[in-house]
Amino acid sequence: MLNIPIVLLYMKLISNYYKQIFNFLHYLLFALFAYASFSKLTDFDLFVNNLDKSPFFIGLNTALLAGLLICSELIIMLFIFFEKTCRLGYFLSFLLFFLFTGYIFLILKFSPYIPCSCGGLIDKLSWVQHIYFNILFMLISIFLFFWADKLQCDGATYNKELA
Amino acid sequence: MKKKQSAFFIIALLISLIILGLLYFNFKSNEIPSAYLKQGGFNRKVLGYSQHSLLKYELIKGYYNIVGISDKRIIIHECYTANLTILDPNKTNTIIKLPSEINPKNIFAISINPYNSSLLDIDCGNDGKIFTFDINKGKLADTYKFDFYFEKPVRASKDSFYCFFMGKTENIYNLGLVKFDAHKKAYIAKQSDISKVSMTDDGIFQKNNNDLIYLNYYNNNIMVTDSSFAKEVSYKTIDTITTRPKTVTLRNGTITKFLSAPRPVNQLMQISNEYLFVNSYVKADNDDLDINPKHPTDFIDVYDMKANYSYKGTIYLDMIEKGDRMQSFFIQGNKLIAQYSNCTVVYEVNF
Repeated sequence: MLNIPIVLLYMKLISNYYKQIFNFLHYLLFALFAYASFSKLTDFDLFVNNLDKSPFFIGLNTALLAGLLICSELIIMLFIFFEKTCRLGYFLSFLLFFLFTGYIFLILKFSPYIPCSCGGLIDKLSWVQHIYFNILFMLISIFLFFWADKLQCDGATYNKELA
Repeated sequence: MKKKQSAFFIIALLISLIILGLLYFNFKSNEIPSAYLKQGGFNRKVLGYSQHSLLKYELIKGYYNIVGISDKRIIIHECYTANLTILDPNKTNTIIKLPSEINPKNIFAISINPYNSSLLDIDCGNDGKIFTFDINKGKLADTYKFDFYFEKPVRASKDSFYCFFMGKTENIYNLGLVKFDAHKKAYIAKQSDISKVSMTDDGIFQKNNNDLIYLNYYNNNIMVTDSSFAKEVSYKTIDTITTRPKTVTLRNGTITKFLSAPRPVNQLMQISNEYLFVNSYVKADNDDLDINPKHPTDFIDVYDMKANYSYKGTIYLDMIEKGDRMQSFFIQGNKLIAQYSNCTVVYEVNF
């Protein structure tokens, strides 16, 4: 049963700490893109090799694709970092996670075999766990996008908090 | 959300969906063709048609490979899993799990040990190991370790394998004999001059008495050598595809990939009673697959190994389920076992 006083208490706590929560999620997303792009950069050949094994990239220039993907991750990371572009960064982050989720769905649904996943820490996740992971970060991105809108994300919000 | 933002949001999502759609289209257009390759230029003759089905085992839909027959039991492996299914003649299925030491995703092939039919040789090339699994005891009997990359191992004796290993350059693999020291660690005992180019010359490798037979996936070449590698003879399957798929090498030779998805010509091979059985994907001029509504889904071309691998005829297998192609087959005596995505069918063949 819904305990209204507790819910109100939670809401009050959240409203008190929403800036901290916002900052935490903001930097979590930033860190994730930094980690994902740099881990792919440091082991570029492995990343291209993994793309080569995917049945969805047969006949495509996977080295170019890998480069584009790393570039887009770096751009999103920078967009999130800078005040004026953070909202665009959240939005692009949402789109990228949407694409990744769709790709994993294609792999699980249609691929005759399951190729290797990405490198780094995240390679410990199975493809299904990856879907949950992506959905979580899709939600975080979209929350940040709308939250930033409410806070009129002028950059001052989280920078002031940090200061 | 403002109208402008909503429109932007919807357009971006649509673009993402289009990208996913393009990936799917690329996948479908490169998928192994459901239709046969229409190279033509040759004819088939019927050796058998609508074979008498002896048994049919129903299975959960998956991708299976027939390992072989051990004590009248058919052993099949569900690819990329640790599941071995034992099909008894009384139509009961038993599933045995492979031990955790074996990474099922790294299993290239499983075969019955020719010197002890209760043992299975499990090739895990990516792990640099060949495991020997005792199917009766349900545990590992031996582990052979390689500190070099190897491909397509075939048992030469109780303690040695023929296999291909990396030659002077990364994309050339030489055939040789590998033996093992007291710690079961591999060393090359004998190296031949017979080589294959990685990817473009990929194929199926098997042993028959004193002969080693290599059938190319992507063209009509059959290479035969004796176990001493003294002579190498080439024969041809009946289809007319002689070209090799084109590849491109990227970044200082670190990665080689196909320029376009290669079309399999000879996909499966088995040897029994001096006959070579090849599941071909190429349509002959006299195959009326598109006309006959009850068209067969699979051919097995038969070659007489004693008569210089001359073509003897073709066994036509009836369609089990529309669009479901044979995944694997095995022949022992007059029994032909065909594996499909959701069943195993045992036929009796007489020719």
